[in-house]
Amino acid sequence: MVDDYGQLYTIEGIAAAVIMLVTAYIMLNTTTLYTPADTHVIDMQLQQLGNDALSMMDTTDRVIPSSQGANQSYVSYLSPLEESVRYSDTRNFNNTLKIYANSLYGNPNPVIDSRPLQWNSTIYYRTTGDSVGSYPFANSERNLTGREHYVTVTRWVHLNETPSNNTPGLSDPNVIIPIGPNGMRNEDQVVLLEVLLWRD
Amino acid sequence: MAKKMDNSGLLSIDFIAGFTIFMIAFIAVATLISGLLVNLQSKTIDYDAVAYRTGVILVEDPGYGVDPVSTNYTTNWELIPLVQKENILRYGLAVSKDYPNILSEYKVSKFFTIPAYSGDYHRKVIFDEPPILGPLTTPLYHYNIQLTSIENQASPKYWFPPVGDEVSNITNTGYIHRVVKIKAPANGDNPPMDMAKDNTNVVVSGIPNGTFIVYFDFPSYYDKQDPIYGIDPLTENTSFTITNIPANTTLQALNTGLYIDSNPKLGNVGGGDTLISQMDQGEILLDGVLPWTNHSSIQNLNSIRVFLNPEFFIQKNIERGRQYYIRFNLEGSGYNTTQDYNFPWISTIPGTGVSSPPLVPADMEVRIW
Repeated sequence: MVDDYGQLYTIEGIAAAVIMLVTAYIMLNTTTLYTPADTHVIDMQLQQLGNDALSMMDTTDRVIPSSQGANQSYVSYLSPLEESVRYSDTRNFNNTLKIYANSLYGNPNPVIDSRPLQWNSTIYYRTTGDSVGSYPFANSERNLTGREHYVTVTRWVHLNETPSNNTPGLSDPNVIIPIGPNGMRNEDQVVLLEVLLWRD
Repeated sequence: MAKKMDNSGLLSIDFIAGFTIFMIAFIAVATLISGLLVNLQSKTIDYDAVAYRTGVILVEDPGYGVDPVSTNYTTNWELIPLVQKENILRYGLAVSKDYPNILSEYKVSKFFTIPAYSGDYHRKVIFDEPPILGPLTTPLYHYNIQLTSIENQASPKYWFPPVGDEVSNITNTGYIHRVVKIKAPANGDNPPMDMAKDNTNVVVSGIPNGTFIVYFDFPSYYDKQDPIYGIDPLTENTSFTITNIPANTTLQALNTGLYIDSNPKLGNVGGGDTLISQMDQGEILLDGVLPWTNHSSIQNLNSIRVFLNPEFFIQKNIERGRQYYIRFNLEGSGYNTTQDYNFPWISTIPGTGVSSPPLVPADMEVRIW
């Protein structure tokens, strides 16, 4: 008498093979997720450069002594970044960022990574109505088309209502918060500068 | 006897079919595996990571070492004498860990220019070598580190010869770029202390006429110390220039040197202060270039430049809480008053006062391969 004891039928064999295949496929696909992709490193390098550049632009270059002798104290200038944002001086911002971020471009010392970087920046602030407003700030020669592979770097910028000191070179140090479009508050505040940075 | 047919011990066609499909699948997967592992052989990712780490250590960390005198841990590795450089545990260039990316000029110049240090960089910057060196332990990576100030690329204010190995095949290296600022020390060189223009003659009791005093108020440097703009003669170079010295004036070695102000509450230097040290050879340059050798009396000077490194003050056991001054004994018919200047020199001419010079932006590149 024929029985099916111990018998592997064709259909079951195929089913088992399919299951094994699917399992192997899923497993292998899962492991590929663990392999880091090189592109992230390139983004990281650009992001680091952008963060460094903004952070250095937000560092005052010098202070001036306000008095002499034992109780010497210093008056600090606004940082170049604070000054640019406060007075909407996008030209100064662009020039400084260009030097800092594109510094190797044309450097006599040989290096790859020749990098004319492009950027586009926006400032976000809290409005009088407690919503978040924004306005476009500086951008480089090239416009953002949306197809660029950019990284985002941000920096909080402190805006004093009136600076505690006279910033040399600026005619009116007592300008209240400058721009104030669309309900920007007229008081001490911190705004978020967001810079999209990409390689041209 | 009719044997009952069963299938025990038989290899059925079904099994062969199933096993074949499995084997095909298995072989297909096995051939794919090698391709999948290509991503795991991530040499350049590794290089980039090491470059990033090295960059962080250099620009965000002030370094670390053991002070050979006090045996305390210190971040001023640059002040550890070269013969005791084993006491340096980690090189870092930041002025302070609270101010990442602000580099100390003194640390930077020592890091890039002292060849004796560079043999340690694998162990103390790259960290790619076992701590105990043996014949079989070699560093894992090659490195190249360079630093250039970026505002004037034709003639940068700071440029150092790169340390490390020469980059031969640049496409196969990992790298990181850091934008930093270099903090140069405050100085009284530019503008100089002008004895003709900035005449602040004072009458000081107990000090003979013909004395020129440069006053160092250490407590004011360290009370509210600001690592990125402040004055710090104990970790930075100190220099100043005295110009327009009147004609027929002689610089005398006697009484010229560094003094401790024994009674600063009077607000002025006075007689009876202790001479700590005469100025050593090479610390005083006459007319800007010639070292003042043998402490001989020199006549008809035009200018004096004084250059003191932190080691000068440290060797004299300078205390942060006390006042000191450097006194020049200028004798002669041309100069018979006393002038008293503070360091840093703040000119009486508006707009020319000297404080810390501006921070200098620079670019640091680290390459690893």
